[in-house]
Formats: sequence, structure tokens, C-alpha cells
Amino acid sequence: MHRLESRLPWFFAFALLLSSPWVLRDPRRRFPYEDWAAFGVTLLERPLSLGSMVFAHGKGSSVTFPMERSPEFELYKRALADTLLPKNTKRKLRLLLPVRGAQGQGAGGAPKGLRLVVPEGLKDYKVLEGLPAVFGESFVGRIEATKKDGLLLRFPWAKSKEGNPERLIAQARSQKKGQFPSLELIVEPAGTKDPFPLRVALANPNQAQTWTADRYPYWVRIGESRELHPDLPSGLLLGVLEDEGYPQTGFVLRRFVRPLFDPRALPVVAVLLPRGSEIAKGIPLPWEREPRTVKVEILWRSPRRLGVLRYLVKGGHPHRGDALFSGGRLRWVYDWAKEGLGMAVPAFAKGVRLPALALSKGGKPRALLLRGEGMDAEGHGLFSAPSLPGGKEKLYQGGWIFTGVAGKGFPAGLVVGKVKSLRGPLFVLETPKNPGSDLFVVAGRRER
Amino acid sequence: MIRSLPFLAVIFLIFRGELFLLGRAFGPAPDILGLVLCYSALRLRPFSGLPLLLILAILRSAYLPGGLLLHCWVLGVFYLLLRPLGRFFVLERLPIQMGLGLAASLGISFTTALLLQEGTLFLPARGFLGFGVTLALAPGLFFLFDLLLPLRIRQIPRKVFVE
Repeated sequence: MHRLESRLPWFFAFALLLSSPWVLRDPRRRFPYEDWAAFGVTLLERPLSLGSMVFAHGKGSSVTFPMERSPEFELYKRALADTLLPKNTKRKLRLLLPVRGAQGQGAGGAPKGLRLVVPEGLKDYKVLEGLPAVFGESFVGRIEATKKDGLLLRFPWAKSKEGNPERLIAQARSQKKGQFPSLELIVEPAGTKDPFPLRVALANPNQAQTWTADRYPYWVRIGESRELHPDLPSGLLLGVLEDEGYPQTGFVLRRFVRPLFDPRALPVVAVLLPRGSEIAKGIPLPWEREPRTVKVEILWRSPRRLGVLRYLVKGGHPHRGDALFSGGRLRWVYDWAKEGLGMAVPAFAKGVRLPALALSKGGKPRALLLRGEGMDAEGHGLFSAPSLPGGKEKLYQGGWIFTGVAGKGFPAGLVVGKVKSLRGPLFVLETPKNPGSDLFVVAGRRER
Repeated sequence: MIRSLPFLAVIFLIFRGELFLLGRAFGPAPDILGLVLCYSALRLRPFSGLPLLLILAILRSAYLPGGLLLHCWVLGVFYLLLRPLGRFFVLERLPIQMGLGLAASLGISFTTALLLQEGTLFLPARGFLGFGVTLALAPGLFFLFDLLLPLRIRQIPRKVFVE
């Protein structure tokens, strides 16, 4: 045997040892070129049925359909309109921009920004540069024009183009009734290893207690500052104050601010326009522009005995993570996909991450990132929301969950399900009784 | 390379058959890829066995939960555990082929299910009958692979008994 060949198992063992941390930490991780390998072996497995499809793929002969919406979509539209366009503000003073997807990773594991869709009819979008954006009461960041003719929302914890972190003057007040001290704060971006994306650089009074049960939570709102941020209206919400320290002695080491939204799941943001601006005139609302869809076909489904089902699907130009839907409801998500062929798993399958918008029973929306946790004995999907503080799940019992947005192939506003009940911290989402028979994906070839 | 193509074609056919058999036709699910891994660890030279292991991992990652790295890792661990056993056992004996094949199959299923925290490849999902069929198929498959693969890319058995 060749000398190299005799040593090969040892090299292989060493490689296995080095890769162990990644495997043990995230066994579902897929690398970018894996989709090509999976596509290749699937083509070899089914050469006749897939060969014709792949050769016909380049001709672009597939017929597209308008996006079908479920009756619950009205709830979604009303909730977003109430949140983003309050009745006491003039419609033309806010421009709603749909989100395309998250970008980069910044402080506290949150993305640095969101890629935004430039709406048709908005010619001079560079005038939006630097304007503040909100989602509900929350300040979500500032708009930046990118080099690639696009718009980006830069979160308050990301550095600007000039490389300077933005410092914000803020005030923190308890949300509980009682005479509790308020805090004057200077808030700045946290470090990449900090637990939350914003940290308090300076607080006055420095050692005031905020975490005791009678006064928690303290909400942090932006204050007025002519020097640091003259354009930001005071009262916008930054998040909840979170402290690190010694509860026994009441000594605070560090303070952070946790945003009230999950930055990975925002579907739309509202840009605050200067007075007298005419930019928003004639620009349609994000939910008035619907993507075209294309029908797909199931080639193979895994046996029921396997537990969570997997479906080999052909059609369209899907990418990994794109949504498959029918009747306005999210059905499955692509585990891998290449050249019009992909393996789809149910949205509740373990390892699936869904940017979502949860509507409470009162119709108040909250951007969340849901994780699939399998299904219960009755076939209802189980989901967890790690970014939701403990106990807040009860607010959403009986409410609806819709998709947020994650790229062009994962459209916002699809119904994920109604929150039937809670199982500890898990949402039990009702499975639709009569899902549509035809399955669709968003049409069109697109870049990630 | 060309002479090993029939072997690779059989692997692909076997995998398709395994997917079909899984809970469809007969109910139990034999882990034939576990047997292929066992054969490659015990019989094949590293230059042939390791590329085969990669092909098996790609097949599993395409159709089953988990990424390619996970499947490479799990198959690789059992490849390295089984490989030295070729020195201590006479691989021509049927009970040894059956025992090692079953051990590989059980180990791969259990480790994958443990890492994924999901019952998809869990032992009860495959069923006791599934592992029973795996055990029964082992000698036949070892014989078939011996026929298909040229001796050059196979490993010569290292254990020789002299009276």
C-alpha cells in the first residue's frame, strides 16, 4: 500500500476531531455548495424524471399566477397599518418600505442592517439617506443608500458609513405603577460579545435598582438632544433596560438595552419624512404589491414512518430557506434547493427558523424569530420564540402568526397558523383543516 | 475508476431501494447504507473507501435531516471504529459479517438521532424488524460487493491463519 494511503485514515481521524465542535453544536448546518452536491445525487437517482425538467428549466416557459391570500391577511394588513401609520400622523409624513432580508451580524448576535426594497415610483431614493425609521413606537435605525443602488436600514447598534457609533440620549422609566426613580442614559452600540445589542455608556443615577419585581420592566425612550440627534423626535422607544450585577447587594456592573422587536423578523419599516416632503406621494403601500408565483410539483415524499416528512419538489427557481405556500398559508420551507429542484420540510420541522409577525388577540403585532420544534400527537406544529421574554407567550394565545420576510422567496404575510394553545414556552399552532391542493413558490430567478 | 462504476451504480440503486422500502412496501426499513459503510471500512483500501464514504454522506444529507458535515462525521467515526476490526476477525465468516453490519447500522442510526435530537432516524423509527432485515441482508451484500469490485481496489485480508 502506498505510504500516503496508509496514513490517510489518520489524517481523516484528525479532520473529524477538528470538525467535532461544529458538528456537535449545529448538526443541521449546511454549507453553501452542499446544495449542488444534493442536486447532483438526486439527478443521478432520478435521471429520467429530472433530466427533462432541468433541460427545460432554462427556457423560462413556466406560467406565473398572482399571489393568493388567505382571509386572515386582512388582519395582518390592518395590524400593520395601525402600527406604522397612526391615525394622528399624516400619511404623507411616513414612507413604508418593505424589508428584503437581514444583512451582517453585529452586537449581541443581531444583524447590522436590513436590505430594503426600493419601491417603484421612488426615483430619487438617495434623499432618504440618514432619515430615521420606526416600527410601531420603536426606533429601528436610519436609512442608508448602498453602492449597489439599494437601500439599507442601519440598526442603532451598527456603525455608520463614517465608522462612528451613534450615541443616543435616553430616559428609562418603570412601566409599573408607583413612585420609582427614572434614569437619564447615554446609550451606545454594545460589543459583539455582549448579550444585548445596545449598552448604557452613562446612567444617572448610576446605581438605581431596576430589576426588582415591583418595578421591572424599565422602558428606555429617546430624549431630546440638539447636539447628538436633533432630527429624532423624543419619546421613540429603544427597548427594555437589562442590568448585570449582584442582586444580593444591589450593585450594578453594566446596563444594556434589549430591543422590543426581533431585528431578524421585521417585515416593513416606516421612514419618518421631514415636514413638507412629497416623497411618499403616489407610492403604494407594501402589501399592495404582490409577487407573482409559480406552481410546483411533488416528486417524492418520505414515508410517514420517518416522523417529520420531507418532500422532493420541482419547479420555480427556489433557494434554500424559501417558502412553499398554498391558499396564502405557509406550508413548507426548502431545506436545500438548486436549479428548480429542492427538498422541502414542514415549517414546524426542527431546525427551521421563521421570521414571523405575531399578532396578539388585540391585534398588536410583534416581530419574532420562531424556531420549529416538531409536532404534537395531533399533528399541530410546535414553535418556540427564543427572543420573547418568559411569560409573554400568553399574550399571543388565540392570536395569529404570519410570516415576516427573509429574501424574495419568503414573502411576508403568509399565515403560519393560529395559536391554539401553549405548551410551556412553546406555541401550538393549529394545522389548517383544508389546505389548498396546489403548491406555489415565488416566481423569478433571483440573487440571494 | 471505470471498473468500479457498476459498484457505484449499485450503491445508488440500493439507496433508492432503501428509500422505497422505508415504511412503504414492507414496513421495516433495512439500513443498507450502514452495510455499505461496514463493507468499505472492512474490505476497501482507504483511497476507495473514503470517497465512497463521501458519496454515502451526500446521499444521506440530500434525503435525510442533517447537514453533509454531520453525516460525514457520523459515517467517518464508524468507519474508523470498524476499520481496525478487520485485523481481528475473519471477514469471510457469515456471523461476523452479520454482527459487524448490524453494529454499524445500529450505531449510525443511534448517533445521528442523538445529535439531531429528532426521532427521524431513531431506533424505533427503523423498527426491530428493520434491523433484523439488515442483519439478514449482510452476507448477501458482502458477497455481491466482492463480485462487483475488482480485487485491485479491495484490500487484501490481513489476518491469515496458519496451521
